Amino acid sequence: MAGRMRNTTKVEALIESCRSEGKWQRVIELTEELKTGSPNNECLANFLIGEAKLENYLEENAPIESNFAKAKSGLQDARRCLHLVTGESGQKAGIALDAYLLLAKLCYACGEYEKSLENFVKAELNTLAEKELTLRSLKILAESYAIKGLCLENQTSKPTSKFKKAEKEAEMITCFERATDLGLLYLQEQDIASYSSATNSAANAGSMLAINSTSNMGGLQSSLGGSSLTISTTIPANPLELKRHMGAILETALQRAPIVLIKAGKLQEAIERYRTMLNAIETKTTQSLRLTLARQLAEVLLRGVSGTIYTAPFTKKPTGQALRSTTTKRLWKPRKYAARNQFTPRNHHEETLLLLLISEALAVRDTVLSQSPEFRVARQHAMGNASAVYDLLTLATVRWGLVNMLQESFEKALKFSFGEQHVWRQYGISLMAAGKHAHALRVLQESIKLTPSDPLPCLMAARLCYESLALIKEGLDFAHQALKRETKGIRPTRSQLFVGIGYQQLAILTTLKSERDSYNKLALESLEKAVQNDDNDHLCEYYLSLQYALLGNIAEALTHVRFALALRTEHAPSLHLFALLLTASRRPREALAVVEDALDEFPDNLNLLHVKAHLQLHLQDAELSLVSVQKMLAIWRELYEGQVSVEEEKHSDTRSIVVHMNPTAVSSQMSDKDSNSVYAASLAAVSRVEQALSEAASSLSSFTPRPGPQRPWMIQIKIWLLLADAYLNIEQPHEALNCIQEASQIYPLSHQIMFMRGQIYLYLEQWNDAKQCFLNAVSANPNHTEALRALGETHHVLGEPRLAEKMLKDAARLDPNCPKIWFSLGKVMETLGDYTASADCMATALQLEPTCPVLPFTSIPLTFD
Amino acid sequence: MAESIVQDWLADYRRIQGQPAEVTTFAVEHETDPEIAEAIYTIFSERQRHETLVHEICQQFLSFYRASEDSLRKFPLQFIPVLIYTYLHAVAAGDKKGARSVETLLICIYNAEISTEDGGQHVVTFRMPILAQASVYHEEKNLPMTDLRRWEENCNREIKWGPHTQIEAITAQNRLRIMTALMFCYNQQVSLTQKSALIHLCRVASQLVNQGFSKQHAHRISYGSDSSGALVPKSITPRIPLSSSFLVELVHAIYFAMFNGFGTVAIQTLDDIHHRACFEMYTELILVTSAVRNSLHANPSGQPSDGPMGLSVALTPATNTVTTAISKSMITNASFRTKKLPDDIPIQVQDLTMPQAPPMLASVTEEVDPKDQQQTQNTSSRNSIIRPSMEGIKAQAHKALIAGFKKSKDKEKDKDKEKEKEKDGKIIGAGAAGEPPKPPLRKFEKHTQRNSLLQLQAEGNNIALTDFEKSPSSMGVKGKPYDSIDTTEMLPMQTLLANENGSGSFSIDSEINGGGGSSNMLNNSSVASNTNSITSSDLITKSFDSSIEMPQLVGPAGVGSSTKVGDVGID
Repeated sequence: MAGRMRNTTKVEALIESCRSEGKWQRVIELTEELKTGSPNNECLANFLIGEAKLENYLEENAPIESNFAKAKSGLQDARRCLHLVTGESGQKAGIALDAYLLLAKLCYACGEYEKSLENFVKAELNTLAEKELTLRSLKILAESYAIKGLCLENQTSKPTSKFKKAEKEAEMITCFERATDLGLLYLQEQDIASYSSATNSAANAGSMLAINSTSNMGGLQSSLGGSSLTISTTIPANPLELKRHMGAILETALQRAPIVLIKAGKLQEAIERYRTMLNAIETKTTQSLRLTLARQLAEVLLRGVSGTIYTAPFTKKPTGQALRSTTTKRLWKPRKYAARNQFTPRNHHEETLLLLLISEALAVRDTVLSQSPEFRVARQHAMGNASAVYDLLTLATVRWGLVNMLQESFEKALKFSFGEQHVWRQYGISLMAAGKHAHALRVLQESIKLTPSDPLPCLMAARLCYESLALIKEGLDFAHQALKRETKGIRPTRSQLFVGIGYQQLAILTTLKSERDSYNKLALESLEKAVQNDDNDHLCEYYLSLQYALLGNIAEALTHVRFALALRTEHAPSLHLFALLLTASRRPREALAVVEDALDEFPDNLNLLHVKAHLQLHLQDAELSLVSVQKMLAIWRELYEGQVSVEEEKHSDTRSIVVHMNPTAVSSQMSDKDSNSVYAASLAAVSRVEQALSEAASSLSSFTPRPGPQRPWMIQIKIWLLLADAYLNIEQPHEALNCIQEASQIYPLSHQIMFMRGQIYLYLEQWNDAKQCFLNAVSANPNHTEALRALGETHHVLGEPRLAEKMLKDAARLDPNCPKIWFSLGKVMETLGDYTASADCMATALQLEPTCPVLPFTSIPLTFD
Repeated sequence: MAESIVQDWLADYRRIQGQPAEVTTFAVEHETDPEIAEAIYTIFSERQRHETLVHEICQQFLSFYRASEDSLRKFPLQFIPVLIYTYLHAVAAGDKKGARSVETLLICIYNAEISTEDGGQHVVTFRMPILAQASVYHEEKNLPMTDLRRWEENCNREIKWGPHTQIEAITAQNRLRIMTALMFCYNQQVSLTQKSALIHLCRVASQLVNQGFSKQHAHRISYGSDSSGALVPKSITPRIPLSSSFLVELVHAIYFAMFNGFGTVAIQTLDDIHHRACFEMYTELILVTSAVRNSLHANPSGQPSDGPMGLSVALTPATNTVTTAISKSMITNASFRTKKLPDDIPIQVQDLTMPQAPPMLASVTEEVDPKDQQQTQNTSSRNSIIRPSMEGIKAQAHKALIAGFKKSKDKEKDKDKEKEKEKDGKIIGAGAAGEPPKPPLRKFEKHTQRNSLLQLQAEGNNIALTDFEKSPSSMGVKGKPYDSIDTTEMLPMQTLLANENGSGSFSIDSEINGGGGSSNMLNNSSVASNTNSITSSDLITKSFDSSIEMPQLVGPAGVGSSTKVGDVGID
């Protein structure tokens, strides 16, 4: 007898553990055993069987609307069993309450909300006192509150009075609130329980085998599960390997709770609910739930809360709960994170970003890397989750100029984004925005492949090639590709324009005359077409005008630049071009007026200031010019000093902040090119040479390159050179030399500095030194026509006309539109006694002179705005 | 109708100005009256017809904005988008004069918004959260290491909006910056504005980006026939110049509208903005607009139509329908775990003397499912499958019992170590099992290789020195480990160098190495300084023409630098 008793208690204990682990089939088996063991336990047995049948059924058929009808028949058995328990014997055994709760669950699964609520009334759910509960009871209770809340929400009969309605709503909210607290607590307890049972069962594995041969499999399984649990420390190595599911009812309730609050117009309470749920210590089962919750809270913060109505989390005790919470209530609350030195968000932005970073980490962890087709659904689901987080992250970060951070996130995403066009495209664009041009181009190429009908990535790639990488030919190919992809007639795009720009740049870069002519022709055709396609685009008109200017057709160019200006009055490059065109039509005073007006609108535009200073020099106003240059230096300091003082370019996050606050800095930084060079477009190439030279210099002597990004320093060099020019004009060669000195401290081997130094020697009539300088300049950049011309002239002065002729002819070949070169060549030819040639040269110079701008048209930087 | 309402509204306020009590009652009434805002919007949309009225409204807004009543002060803010549109439209059309009053109002609001109550500069700052620090929403130990590492860089970074400088006039240069700041301020308050204002926001935003893009505009008179240039017809509506950051702020406002009752309209507006972004190629804006557009379709983020703020219950898909066999073999990101390496690895001589150190101890180990791992390992150790796993479990369980249920970080580490030990034991065999985990060799190799390369370079430069070093004393045991370095591990350049010099004829004695290297450097730099003064233009030209990379260019000029270049090359 005693043995039987022990056996019964053992069986009961086994049943209890199976109940909490959700092994319902096993519970039924054991209950049968129990029945035979002690027949007086019939009531309990009924309950257990009813419960097991219900849960078993629900595991296979989720309690959702489409299953309601089926459930009614499928759950008849369970209903019968549970009804038996609600009687007196059940009351006596103390399980009637549980039976009612389970009946309510059963009714809910059948869609009988009213009946379900009745059962809750019978169970007196509202009057339950808080006390320690077993795992199973905890789950039943949590689910009961959840079901009650859901039933109240879905109840069809509308309450009549307003008061009733509010009362019902309040009850529903309380139910959901309790359901979430209890549910989270249950999951936490479950975690602990499974942890301990794993260790226990592992220790007892042997004895269990001896006791019951049928439990062999179960014991082994649980121990295996347990072992993976302990090994994987607190994170499950793979959420799927742990098959525990919290169940649809609980999960729905947990997610529903804040939504119900939002629906009731209690946004603040909803946010608090999200916060409490996320503040609860995570469990293995809540991983994906936490992802959803974190993302949703971020969404709420982004979509519904603006800065002024935001209140930071956990600054004070949530008042609503503080009122209700008694000391015993703590028992039914989930445990919370309580590390020392916790990061607690202080404002809207901090909280949003924190949540998004957490959800990113969670989402990325669950992404599926296997590419085999059987995982397609799982992969897509995980990908969807991740990209939702990325989209929100994009929205939250770009505004603050945190593109670099975003780009890192996307980089990480590539691991699981094979063939995902959205991620690839976003990655490419973010790289481009972060200023990583070459890398961006590679990624965009991939994106072009992934979206075979979208012209945008092609256009972006083309722009990168033109603007930053000096890969004009490649850029042109991309532009052609974009043009092919374009669907005509819906919305204008700039593909045609980009083709034109590509041809134009190619023409500028080509030295061979026949090639250049053909490129020019193509450029003109494309640009004309671009203007026809979209006659409301100022940029098309601007480039067309520039093309005419480059071809020497000043009148046409003037017409088109006027159109461009009519379409966009305040367009700095158009104004720049307009001023140069005016100088090319012998109206320098007007040009100066235009530049001065333009500078009223764009006071910090160094390009325009450069033109202004040059014009002033040209008009023999060297003193005024000095003032302009000084202003340029001041502006340089204002715009770039912050940038260069930044330790390394690596920390370009901070730079992008600067950029964000001062967008003009970007535009002038982006657009400022080597305006003295013939090859404005090939700055990248030229400065690469300069970079190389400066590296050489740094290895040679005490020279240390300036810190920070190089472009601002290049701009400073240009300003110094201009200043030297101005000083030379007012006959102060020493000041000019000082300027050169300043410039050469930045980059000793720049060909422009060498050229300018030569100019000073020329002024001082130190011909041999001058010649040496020009030689150096030409060596550094053999395409620098001004140095070539100066070299030729120096040779001429030094009585070396043959060499002079050679240099000047080289120069003329490179830049046939410069009257000065032709004039010098004419003089040299005269010395050589070749008078007809001399006359031809002079005639050419005369012909060119009226249409020669004060600065070459190519000095206007490439623009895309 | 609208006109009379606005007239009354203007007159009412003018009448009671200066009487604080009345102003208060006016403010209260004003707040509850939805008609006035609507009427004002109507007036603004027909700006051309009501120029004086617009002027008066602006004046009234200004006095509202300066009023002490909070509700009055907030009232003009909801009109910021419409004011911006009105102003930018006028500027684009070349009608700056017509928009003077609006301009003044905008400047005043801007100057007030960028400064604090006490006259300081208004700055919005926040700390960049990092996952490496525990927060109220997470514990750092529960997140993958890679994420933590990445965010460490951002530690303690402050993100700022502002400070902005006060302005006196709007120019083309600062115009959009000011508008951006204004939109930012608008966004800060957007949840306080009347919901009906949001539809005007969407409408105005669409107009801002779409103007000048519709195909219906009249064709321009063909130029070319008459080149006087002055005949740009008035009929065309010029496009409004915009900027990326301004439109990003606008998108934030639209996003708010989208989830607060104006889904359809806002989505349309967003599309308009997106098209403009693509046309102008505003990279940052395209990022944002495509993110929002993507989140709107086929995404768990939810549509504006599903429930409040697009939130809905997203149940975890029944992953348990997938049979366990499949889910076991599925690789997710979680299947990988990065091991933290020690920051620096001390050079341990005894490690070097162990030539057959296995290359398996790579820096990153792919952590497969423990069971799989065991299986793969078992193929080599030929044990039964059950036994080791049971042992492992027992060990774990024992540990766990001792430690209780607290999961401390240290324990995690212990476990990791233990596992590593297990692995080591299996790979290396019983002999090595007792040893502590080895530092990953690769890094060390790299380190030594770099040394050796320096050495090689030095040798290349100074043969006499190498002869000295080749003396048998240094050829002994110390040289050996280098022979064992797998050449395939080397970078191409290194192998090249190694081949040139014959392999392994150098020592690791750092003293000699360093001494030799530095003396070389000294010698060379003195040579270099001699050559330095020669402006060898021919040389430079040659390099430019043939576009050869740096080392060749400098090679003949200064040997001292070549070591440096080589060094960089490795890294």
